[in-house]
Amino acid sequence: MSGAAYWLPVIWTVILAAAILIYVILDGFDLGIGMLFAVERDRGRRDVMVNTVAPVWDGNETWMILGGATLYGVFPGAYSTQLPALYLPILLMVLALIFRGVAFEFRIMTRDSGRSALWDLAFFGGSAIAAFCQMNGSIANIGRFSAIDGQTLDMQELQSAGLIAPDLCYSRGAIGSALSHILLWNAVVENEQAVSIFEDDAILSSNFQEESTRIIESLENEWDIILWGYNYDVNLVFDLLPGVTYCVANFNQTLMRLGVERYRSRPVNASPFKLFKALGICGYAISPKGARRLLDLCLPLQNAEYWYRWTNETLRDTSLDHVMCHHYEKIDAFCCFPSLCISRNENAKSTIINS
Amino acid sequence: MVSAASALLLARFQFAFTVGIHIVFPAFSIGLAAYLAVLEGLWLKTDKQVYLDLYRYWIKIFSVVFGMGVVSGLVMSYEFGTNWSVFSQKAGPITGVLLSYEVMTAFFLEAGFLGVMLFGMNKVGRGLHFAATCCVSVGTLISMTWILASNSWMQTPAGYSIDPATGRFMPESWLAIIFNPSFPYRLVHMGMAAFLSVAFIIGGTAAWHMMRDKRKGQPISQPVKVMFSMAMWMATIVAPLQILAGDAHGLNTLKHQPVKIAALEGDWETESRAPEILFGIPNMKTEHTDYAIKLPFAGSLILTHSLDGKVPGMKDFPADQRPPSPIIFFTFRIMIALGMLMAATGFLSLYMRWRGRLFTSPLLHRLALVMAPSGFLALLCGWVTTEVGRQPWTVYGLLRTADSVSPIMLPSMAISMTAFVVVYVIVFGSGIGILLRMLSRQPEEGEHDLSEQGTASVLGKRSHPETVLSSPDLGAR
Repeated sequence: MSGAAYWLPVIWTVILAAAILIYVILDGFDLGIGMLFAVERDRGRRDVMVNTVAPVWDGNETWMILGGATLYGVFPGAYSTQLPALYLPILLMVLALIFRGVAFEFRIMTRDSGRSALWDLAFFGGSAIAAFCQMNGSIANIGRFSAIDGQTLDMQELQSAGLIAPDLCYSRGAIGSALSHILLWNAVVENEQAVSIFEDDAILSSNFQEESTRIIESLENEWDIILWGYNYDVNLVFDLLPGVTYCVANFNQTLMRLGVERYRSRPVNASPFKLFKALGICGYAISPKGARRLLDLCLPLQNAEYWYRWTNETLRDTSLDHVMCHHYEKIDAFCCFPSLCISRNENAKSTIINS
Repeated sequence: MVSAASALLLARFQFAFTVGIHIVFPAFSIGLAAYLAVLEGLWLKTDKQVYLDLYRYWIKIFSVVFGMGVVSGLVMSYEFGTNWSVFSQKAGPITGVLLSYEVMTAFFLEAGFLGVMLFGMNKVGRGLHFAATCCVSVGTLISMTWILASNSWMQTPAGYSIDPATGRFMPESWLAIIFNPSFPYRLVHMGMAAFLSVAFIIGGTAAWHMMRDKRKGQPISQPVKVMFSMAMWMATIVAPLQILAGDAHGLNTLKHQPVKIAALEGDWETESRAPEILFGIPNMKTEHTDYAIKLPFAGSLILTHSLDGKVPGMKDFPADQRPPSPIIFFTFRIMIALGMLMAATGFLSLYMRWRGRLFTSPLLHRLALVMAPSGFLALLCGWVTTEVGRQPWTVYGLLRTADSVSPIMLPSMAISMTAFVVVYVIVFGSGIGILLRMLSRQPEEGEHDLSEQGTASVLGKRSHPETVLSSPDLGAR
């Protein structure tokens, strides 16, 4: 990664950001004019308002087309994942922009037929809805959540809230990370909506969107948690042939770290299996039912050691994934095999171990 | 499976619907912008009022058509991603880049100078305004060039390599990609189609006004005469050229996409001295064209320019690689018939012109009126033929349509399809209604400028004295 291979994406990101910024500034004015139509009744003044943007709106909207086309040409991966994910907001936005765009001419051309008021309404409605979708389109499906910083936590308070037991021997980083996940589970319970949660170092396969959708559908609501990926430095145990045999899988984490770029660019065909043991929670989907069960089972976090019968090993609970792992067998937990996301799992960089 | 198959079908219908409506407006803009540039050039050269009148008349139409083209095009630039994400992911490094070139070289040029063209007649000098008109016209042509390069590349891919890890099409040679084997033929054919379509709209409008004037016993106004004459010259010269261009395009298709030719001809067996099927109903199940009326030897003669040339049949190709013949068999024939009729109109007008009856012949005027939408109909039929003929592929021979679609569920696809149909019927239905109303008004001698109409109330000149009074800074004048 040097020279052009490194700088081209950076340069294009800047160009794309510039195009979007210019669009927001220029067409933001036009859309604002449209929205102000609601508070200006006088036809003559409305004409003045429209005429301030009529000669330039088309040029302004071209920046938005440039944004779409650049994303398509330069970042086809992002274009082809984001747009289906934002399907309805984008649909609504382009439809609103159609009304807004044609209203410029139509409202004048229909002046003598009495339908002009309708196109005035279209101008206002189109502007308002387009602006609304542009604002919300970007946050419709993907939320970014800053993790809780373990260093700043008040342990006494957490104990009295029943979240952790006094004898817990997690590092501060591990507590922060665990609480971040727990907070998100609570949100899942509250919103009654399944989500996928990723840690910052998760790397997705190129066809993650399609595969994850397919797998979730194939499980038909009968799932609590689906691990898209897991750590490669420990073994994975899953029900390979239900009623026949389980499977203990080992990986080579060093090779995986070398192959990250290859993984990122390659589609993976994964299947879900009933999960028995896996460590690492770099990416997983959790259902409201699963969030409720895990909150019940895992809290309060306490000092413990767990024995795993498939591999006959005893592991000390040092982070949230250990206690989750202990309960996987009891709940409807699944793992994807091969994994749809990987994590470098670089301990040196991880705050969980260090502090 | 049922749901996935119907989602695919709906995605295809949606694309056909949105692009089918979209294509009419850019084609209209391409032809009309060139016409406007010619009119303004003639006005600058001869200083005759009639050219300015016509310019001002048609630029109002242009402003509506261009706006509808922009908004329906915006839909397209996002539809690739929402509905055809796998296609855009795999072919994006090529088609997406061509689209970006189009935006940067054509759309900004058009959009930048459109404001000057529409609103600047009284604000900038004549020469500068003419330059703006030319820039818009050139912009529409550049835009057509890029989008046809992209489309032709999907038909006859060249200059690419396939990345084994991701299955993406990676550009190897941009020259080979842009000038792919079918591009020059398609560009010429489409360009002439746009010019012809607009010529017939202009001719039809003029014919309607002449017929109305005659019924009312009024003399035909000078602008109407001039635009009818110009439109008929265009039909006389370009329609026969278009037939030649179409023939060359057909030979090119035979070379690169033989199964498309077999399907649009309804031919099942490969044979030399093949007949031309004038009419029939191709049946994909029985692999036979029913009720066929055949013209001996004509098939070989048309397709290979020799009597015993070999013409391909669909049975030479696996069943899962054949396009749906029953659709393109008919759209192709409608296009050909309309093309012949357009050329016939041109020849009739030439004859009438020679006999001095160009502005008096009721037969010619009726024919021109009926033929007004023929250009656009032929253009749409041609597009259906070439695009449906590309099936079952999006990138010919390399990426199947079924493998190109987004993982969108049937309900979302159904919602968006319904929304598009409702909105398009309202918006473009109204738009066409408004256009027809505008066209039904005769171009006046001393036609007023578009900017006067739009900015009337700003300047307080025309219809709204109350605005002037209620607005202190304007009222003070």
